[in-house]
Amino acid sequence: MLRPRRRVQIPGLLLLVAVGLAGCEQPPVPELKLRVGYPDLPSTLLLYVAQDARLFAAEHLQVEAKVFPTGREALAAAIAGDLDAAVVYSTPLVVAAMHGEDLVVLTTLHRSDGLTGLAVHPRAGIHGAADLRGHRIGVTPGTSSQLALDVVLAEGGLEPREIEAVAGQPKELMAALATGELDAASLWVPNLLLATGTGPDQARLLASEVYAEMSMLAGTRPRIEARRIETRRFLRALLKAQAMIHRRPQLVESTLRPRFPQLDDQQLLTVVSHSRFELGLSNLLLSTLRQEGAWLEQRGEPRAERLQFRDVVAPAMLEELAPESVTLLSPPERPLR
Amino acid sequence: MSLGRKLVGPQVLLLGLIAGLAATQLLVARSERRQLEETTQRLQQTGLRIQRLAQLFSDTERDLLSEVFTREDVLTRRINASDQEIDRLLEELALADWRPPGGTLLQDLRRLRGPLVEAQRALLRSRAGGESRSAFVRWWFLDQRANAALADLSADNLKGADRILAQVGTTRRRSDVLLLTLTLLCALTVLGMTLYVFRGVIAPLVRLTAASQTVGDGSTVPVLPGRRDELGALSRVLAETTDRLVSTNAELQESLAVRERFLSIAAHELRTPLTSLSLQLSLIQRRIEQGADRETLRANADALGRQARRLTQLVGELLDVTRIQRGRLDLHREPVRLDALVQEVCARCAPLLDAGQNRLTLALEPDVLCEVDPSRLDQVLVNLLGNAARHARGAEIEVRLWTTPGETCLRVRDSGPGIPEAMRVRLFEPFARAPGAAPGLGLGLYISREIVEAHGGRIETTTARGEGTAFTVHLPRAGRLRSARTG
Repeated sequence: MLRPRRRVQIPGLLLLVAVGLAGCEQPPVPELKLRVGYPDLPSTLLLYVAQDARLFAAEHLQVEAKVFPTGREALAAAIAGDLDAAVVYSTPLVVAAMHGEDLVVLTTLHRSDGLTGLAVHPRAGIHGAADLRGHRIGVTPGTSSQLALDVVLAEGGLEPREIEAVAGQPKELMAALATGELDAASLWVPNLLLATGTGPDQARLLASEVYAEMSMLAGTRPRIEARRIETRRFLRALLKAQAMIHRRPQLVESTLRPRFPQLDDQQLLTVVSHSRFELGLSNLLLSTLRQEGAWLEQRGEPRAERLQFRDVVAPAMLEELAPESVTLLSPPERPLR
Repeated sequence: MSLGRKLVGPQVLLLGLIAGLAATQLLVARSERRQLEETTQRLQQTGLRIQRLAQLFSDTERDLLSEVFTREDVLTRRINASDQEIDRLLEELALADWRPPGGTLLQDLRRLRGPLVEAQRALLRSRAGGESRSAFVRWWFLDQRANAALADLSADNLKGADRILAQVGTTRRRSDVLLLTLTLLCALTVLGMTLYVFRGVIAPLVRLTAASQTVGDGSTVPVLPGRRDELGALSRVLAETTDRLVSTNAELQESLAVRERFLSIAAHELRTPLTSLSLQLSLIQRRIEQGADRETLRANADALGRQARRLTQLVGELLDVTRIQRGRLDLHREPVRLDALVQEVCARCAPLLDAGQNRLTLALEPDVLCEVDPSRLDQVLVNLLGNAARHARGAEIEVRLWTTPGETCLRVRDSGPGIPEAMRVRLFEPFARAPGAAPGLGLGLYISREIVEAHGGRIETTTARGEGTAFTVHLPRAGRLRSARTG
């Protein structure tokens, strides 16, 4: 049994230790800032979840988010130095890389299929890809809209020159399609679903199932290297968002619903069922980049010398945070510094 | 709780902890081995299936590209066979326990299968028509995606090994923590047991040993407080034994002291009459040589006789003390008329009282019959009267005898100066002599009390400064004699 004097000493010592520990506060984590641009699309779900759940704040990261009409413009802002990173689809990224921009992809944010395709005017007389010859078709150049159109044309055995391509932003293309100025328009969700339907006056959907969309977080190599800590915190927050939607799948719909009120339940369900909201760096991504590069090169796009798409993918940061998310078989020759 | 249980309990606990350690280690090792075996087997099977899938994809691609020189029916049969095997392998892969992102990669691959097979067939059909380009484009896109998904699946499968290693690492770390905790518990138990044994067994034994070593100095072994075990019992036995030893030792010391005092006093008291006896004998011898007359010689012989009686009395008293101390004072009881006995003794002591100029008065109840040893009661009365004569010279002495329903009482009272206060407590102790008292062994009252008590009675003393002293002997009238000392 303890002696009375010790019984007094031990709680006293414990109290001292507790007070000491309470006094030894962790040094404050500095608040950092990251500027990110993105198109307001369902594919940006993980970023929305992270924002709603204040996961960036939990990582001591202040995210300055800027919305762009397309990923291409967001990437252009990043290349111009106005942003640290951009959410972009594969086509603009491949185009920019082929033009010699030193870009790196840190992770994909989603992948889907069938959500980019053609909305065909109901009275244009187009029933299949082969019927597109000679028609006025709207497209947003340098985006996945262009590649999706090319794939549909190829499936129809057509060359791009066999149609009349009309360039424009998605909203403009939708308006032109509605008035009949265009026979078809190459769009992506949500515009594709909003422009099409089964009614007699609604445009019909003509999409190729061989084309898969992937959105990704990318930026210029020097800027990402300079913002390593911020970028790592950003990725960590996105990984937490991913874990949240794995635990609570209903979070996908509850996050997208208020942001895309123009989509009805069926359309939202179509989006969700055709999409995978997962971070990762995969062979599929690399294959897609290579495929698109080859395709664009065949279309006459210039290709930067010594461009290796595996160097465009930067797996080190994601692999450090979530090793299982990186399934690339060939590592880059130029890893991030 | 018994000492045995106290000592065995911690051992059992320690054994339990060690058994727990061993069992934990065994279970962890077995679990790790099983986990590794299962996962390795699963990964190997999945890897083999993926390899086979890749081979089949590659075969199909080659077959499709070899259409230029392969017959259509042969080509179709081979591609169909590959497709069947691919579908079977995909079904088998779907049965495995996939974790993200492997599960979604496999789903993607399976979703691609339908369009891919359709694209293959379209490509085969297009050989005859003119739409081979569009069919090829479609197949090419899908095949690229399928190959990429397969590569991702393969990479994910390879990473499964990393995952299981990480799991094993986590399990190992947990088991390490558990083992460390159990080891710490063992160490603490051993420490606690050591302290417990030291405090509970060794320290009390050391204390008992140290205390036992001081028993020779008169100390006793203390009883261990609050101990109900074997050590407590041992300490109690030791305490009782050492108490008895110390007490016996004290008694022995006292006896030795009494004996030494006894021998010293006896030697001194015996030397005086012996010296006197020797001188008287020398004187008689010289007077006989000088031809002394008969009267002179008789006077010298009387003196010699007195010294001899004195010696006899002293020796008698010493013998009585020895008998008393050995518990062998024999009484020869018989019915005695005490009034007659008192009168006879008083008559015999008359010269002594006369020499002390004492006046004796008797107040005796007649015909008092009592069963006593007459010679011993005579000795008591002579002692009391002798004391009165010696210490209350010139005083009145009253001897009174009376009876009560239960007792016979005999009182000798003098009107002398009383007994000094310092002497009162030692009055009945052997060799107790008042300062300046007449020669004697100081055994009279001691012997008297022992004789009276041997008769089952008692002596009471009443004394006051200047008011004299009274000794009252109370004897039981019947049936109250002390049987142990009766002869």
